[in-house]
Amino acid sequence: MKAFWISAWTVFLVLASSLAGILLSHVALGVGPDSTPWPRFGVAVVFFWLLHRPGAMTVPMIFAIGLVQDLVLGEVPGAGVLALLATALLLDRMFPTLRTLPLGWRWLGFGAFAGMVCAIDWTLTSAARLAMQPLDLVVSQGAVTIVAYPLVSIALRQVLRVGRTPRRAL
Amino acid sequence: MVTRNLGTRNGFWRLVGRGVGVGFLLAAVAVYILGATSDPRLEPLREAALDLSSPVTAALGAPLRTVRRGVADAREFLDMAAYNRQLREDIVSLSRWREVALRLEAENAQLRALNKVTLAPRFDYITAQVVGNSGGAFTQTITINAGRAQGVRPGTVVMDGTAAIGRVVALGENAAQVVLVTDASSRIPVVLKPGDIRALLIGDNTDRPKLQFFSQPGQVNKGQRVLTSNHGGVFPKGLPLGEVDALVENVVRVAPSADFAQLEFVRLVIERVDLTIDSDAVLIVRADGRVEQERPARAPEAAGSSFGSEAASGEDTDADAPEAAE
Repeated sequence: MKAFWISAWTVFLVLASSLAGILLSHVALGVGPDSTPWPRFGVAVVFFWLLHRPGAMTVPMIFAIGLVQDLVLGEVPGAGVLALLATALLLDRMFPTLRTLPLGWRWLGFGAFAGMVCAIDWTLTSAARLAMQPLDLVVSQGAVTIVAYPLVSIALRQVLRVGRTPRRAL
Repeated sequence: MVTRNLGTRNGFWRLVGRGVGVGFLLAAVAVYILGATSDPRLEPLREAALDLSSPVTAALGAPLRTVRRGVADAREFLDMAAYNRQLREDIVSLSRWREVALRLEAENAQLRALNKVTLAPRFDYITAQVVGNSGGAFTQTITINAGRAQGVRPGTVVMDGTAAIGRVVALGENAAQVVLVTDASSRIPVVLKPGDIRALLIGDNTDRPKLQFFSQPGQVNKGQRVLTSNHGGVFPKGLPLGEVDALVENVVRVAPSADFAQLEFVRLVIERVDLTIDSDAVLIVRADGRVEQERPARAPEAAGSSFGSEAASGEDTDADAPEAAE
C-alpha cells in the first residue's frame, strides 16, 4: 500500500512539475519576434524525469505532456508530442548510462535531447505549414533551453526533494 | 526505458508495453495530422487548455512581470531628463494634430449628415490583459484574459493603443488566443497611403512583416502608411498597422506601429450594428472630442419621416472608425 502511495506521489510530482514548466514557458514576459527567447522548460522537465524517475515518465505521460504543451503554446497540435516521443524513444538507451555520469555529462546529454526535439519539431511544423520555418528562432530558443537546464535540475532536486523519495519504477 | 517501464516482468507484459507505446505513437501521428489540417475536432481541446491555463499563467507571471516593470522603471528613471524633454515635444506636436483632427471630424460628421450617409459599422472596445505568449519559436501568438463571456468572437481584431496587432484565432470562455501580424500564418489585405496601393501584409515570424502582391508595384516608397483595407472582411478598414520601412533583398518590409515589447494590455474591436445619422439633427463637437447629435423639436408627422432616428440617437455617433475614437 505504501509503495502505491509513493508511486502515486511520484506521478503527481512528475505531472505537476511538467505542467508548471509548460506554463512558465507560456508567461508573457516579452511578446513578438523582438522578445528574448524564453526556455522551453517543459522539455527540460521531461528530460529530468526521464533521467531520475524513468518509471513515472512513461509513453502515455510524455504523450499527455506534449499534447498540453502544443495546445497551451499554440503550436501545431501533435508536432511537439511526436518530437518528444520520438526523441525519448530514440535516445532511450542513453539514459541508464547518463544517470551514472556527473552533471556536466548530463548537461551534454540534455543538449542532444533538446537539439533533437527542436529539430524534429521544426521539421514537423514546416511540413504542416508547407513552408520552411525560420531557423534562427528555433536555434536561439534551443540554446536558451540548454543553458537553463542546470537551473531546472537544481530547482527540481532541491525544491521537490527528489533525492529523498525512493527511486522506484511503477 | 520509456517503453520497457510499461512492462518489465515477462514477455507478455513487455509485449503489452510495446503495444501501448506504438499505440500512443500512432495516436500522436493522428493528432499531428488533425493539427496540420486545422481539424475543428481539436478546437474543444484547445479551448479547454486556454481556459485552464490562462488563470494559472497570469498568477505565475505576476511576480515576473512586476520585476520586469521594476527594471523598466529603473531604466526610465535613469533617463528621466531626456524622457521629459521628448514628452514635452510630443505634447506640443500632438496638440496641433488634435486640433486638426477635431476640425476634420466635425466637418466629416456634418457632411455625412447632409448626405444622409449610413455610417460604416461602429465598434465597441474591450480592454484585456496579455497573460501569456506563445513561448514557442514557430508561432507569434498571445493569450489574453477575455473570451466568449466578454463578447469576443473568432476573428475579433486586437489593437494595442493605436495600431492593429492581430486577431483572435482560438476562443475559450474567459480567454482567447491572438495570432500577431508578425506570425508566419498571418495574411492581411492592406492599403498603402498615400497612393492607395493595395497589397498583402505577410508575417514570417520576423519583426518586420513583408508586403507582396501590389496593385501598383513600382510606386512603393519608404514611409508610406500601411492601413487595413477590409478586403476579405476580417479587419475593418483604416486601422493603422505600420509604415513601409525598407527594401531588403527585393522584399518590401513593414515596421509595425505596435510596440510588442511593451504589450501588457490590448483593446479588442467588437463590431456593432449599422447606425444612421438623423438628417435633421444638429451635430455638436464637445470639448473632449466627442460628436453628438441634437434633434430640433418638430411636428409629429415630420418626425415620422426621418429614418433610423432611434438607432442614431445619443452618443453613438462619436466613432465611425476605430481610430476616430482615439
